[in-house]
Amino acid sequence: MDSFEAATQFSQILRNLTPAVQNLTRAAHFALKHSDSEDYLFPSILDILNDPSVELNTKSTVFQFIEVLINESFYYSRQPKFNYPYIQNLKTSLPKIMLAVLPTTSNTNIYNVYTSLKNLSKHFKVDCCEFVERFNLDSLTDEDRAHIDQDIPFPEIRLEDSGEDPLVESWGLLLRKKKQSQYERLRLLKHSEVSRDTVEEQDLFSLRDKNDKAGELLSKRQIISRMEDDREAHKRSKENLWVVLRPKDVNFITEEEFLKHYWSKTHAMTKKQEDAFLETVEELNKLVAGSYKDKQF
Amino acid sequence: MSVKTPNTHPGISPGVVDSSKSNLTPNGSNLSGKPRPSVTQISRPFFTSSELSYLHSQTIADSKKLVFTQRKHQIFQFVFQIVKALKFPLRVLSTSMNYYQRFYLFNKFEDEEKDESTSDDNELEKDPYVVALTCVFLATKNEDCIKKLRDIQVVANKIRDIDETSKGHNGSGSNGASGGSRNSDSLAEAQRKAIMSLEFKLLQLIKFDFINGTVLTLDSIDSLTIQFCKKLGINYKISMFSWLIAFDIMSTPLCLMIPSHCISLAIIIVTLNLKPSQITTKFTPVEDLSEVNLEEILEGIDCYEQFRCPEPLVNEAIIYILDYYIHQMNYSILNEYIPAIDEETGKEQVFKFMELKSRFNDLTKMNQKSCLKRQLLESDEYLKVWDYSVAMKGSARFMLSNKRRRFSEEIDLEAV
Repeated sequence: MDSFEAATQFSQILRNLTPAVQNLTRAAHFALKHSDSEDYLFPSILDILNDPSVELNTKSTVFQFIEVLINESFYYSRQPKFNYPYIQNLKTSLPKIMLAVLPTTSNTNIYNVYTSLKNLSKHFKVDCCEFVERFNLDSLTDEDRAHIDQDIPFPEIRLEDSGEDPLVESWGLLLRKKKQSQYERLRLLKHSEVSRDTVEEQDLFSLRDKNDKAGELLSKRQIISRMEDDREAHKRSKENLWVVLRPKDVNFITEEEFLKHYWSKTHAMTKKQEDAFLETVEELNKLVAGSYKDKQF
Repeated sequence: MSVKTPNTHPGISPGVVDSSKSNLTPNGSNLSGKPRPSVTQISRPFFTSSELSYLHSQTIADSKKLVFTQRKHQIFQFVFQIVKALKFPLRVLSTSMNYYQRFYLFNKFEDEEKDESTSDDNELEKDPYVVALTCVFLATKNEDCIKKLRDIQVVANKIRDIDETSKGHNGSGSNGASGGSRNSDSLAEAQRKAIMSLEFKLLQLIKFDFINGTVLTLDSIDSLTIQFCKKLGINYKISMFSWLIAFDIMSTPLCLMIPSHCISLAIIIVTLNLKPSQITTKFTPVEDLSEVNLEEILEGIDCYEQFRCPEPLVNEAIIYILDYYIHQMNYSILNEYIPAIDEETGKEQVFKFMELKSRFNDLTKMNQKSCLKRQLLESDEYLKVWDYSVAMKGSARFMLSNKRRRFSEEIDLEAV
């Protein structure tokens, strides 16, 4: 397959991407397999994000794909054959990519982006504790509140060339986006009329009209499929809690697993934990005793 | 608890079936007046060794005992490969193996060579590999490591080099397709159907008891063992030795006999008695350099006070573990980590286990008085090969023994 063919196929894959882990990983592996055509493949990612006809849902999925791709690229690069493909390009364009996934006032993807950004920070060894904390706080200032009272829309968020590390810059953008969504919500609460009539589903969820082609709002089908997708993404995020990586070439359990998942994870119980533990065991013992026919203890 | 239960109602001794009488269920009979079959069982997750051999005598023919054991080892190896490929923690493996062994307490082990003439839809359900897949599937749910069944199937069939897309599938699944079947499903689809049907059966066999002695309330044996090691201040090397034993023991039927906290403590007691110094580890944390007095730790253990482990159960587990290594040292994972010849005694490792067992001869083990006579075992309805039709045609109810009081109330209502 030549570079051009690879790029066309890759573009097709991205357009049909679903957030199932397998699907994301397959796409990432395709990209890595053709990493010598990175110069052709990478722009396909940007193209799809900048294409106004592509649904926001798909863009969110592409963002999750980017996370998986970076993840896999780091993993592949343990072999000498690979030299961290895509990573530099993706990192540099990250702020731009983020704004494409979170366009203007449409912040439906904000939580997914936040989760991905958190994971990415680990790879790039960026300490994101402070950002995470700020993300979860109410960040509106008195000045903002005054503006809300005057019903002034939140200023548009644009890219500024701050010369910062692109990841840190992305965090900055995300925090402003978060603030924007808090701001706009309050503004909406303050300045819109309370409706006492029956509200149609269409209006209640601001569903997209069939004739509306602009793509700012989501259709009912899109919302439902998005709920499915988010459920999938949530499952994936939970997976990180239990995944155990084991070497391929060893056919039994290894000391590394013991060290990482048992010895380092387990700590002696506190008094309180211990009491709770003993209580649980006592309850369990009753079940155990009832299991045998003869008296054991 | 004795066979008789505290309340005076007949037919409700621990976990005993009350079959074809409908007085225990409010809607036990249907309109035509014919009683619907109805069963109520109280979960008994643990069996004594005599009960286990009795159950096996009903499900595994003498001529198949060897095949069963060999197959079990292959299957567990297969399950481990799945666990590895899907990056599951070991607790998924542990629970899967537990379920697999439980399944063959109540189901006939049939491992026939594929027979073209008898092909039917049930054939797949008899395939131990499909049973194993079902066990993994249910275990992942119970251990909160959710994966789609499809994902598990893909990995499993790849490991066994099976063509999932083959059509007209007719049975055992070991070689994929062969012609002449009425069924036009692909193997993957036929497998899926078999697994869904088996899952419901498996749920009945575990009596919908998700506590199962370990899960949710307690960690699995592997984690619990390390938890206990930390509590006792046992160092890295010795803890690692215990962890290896835990891994070996996970695959044995001991988990059907003894609850996990008692097994974990037994593992630690065995380890401390063996004083393993020759285990090879790559890492040595700093704290390991200072000498720990294993004897002192061992002397200080109080089974019940510190761990709420009833001593007879711990003793039973100790003897089981020692027996396991005496007979199966060569197949164990522990064997991979310790030198073949013990440096101190100059003998093979297995002699250390034998010597230890001889010192433990006079331990008080479990009381099996009511399980020794075949007659008594035969009269225990709980130990009958499970009749799935009851749940299909009538009602089968399951409850945990500590939730029985609710149940007694219901009987009182019936009596009025």
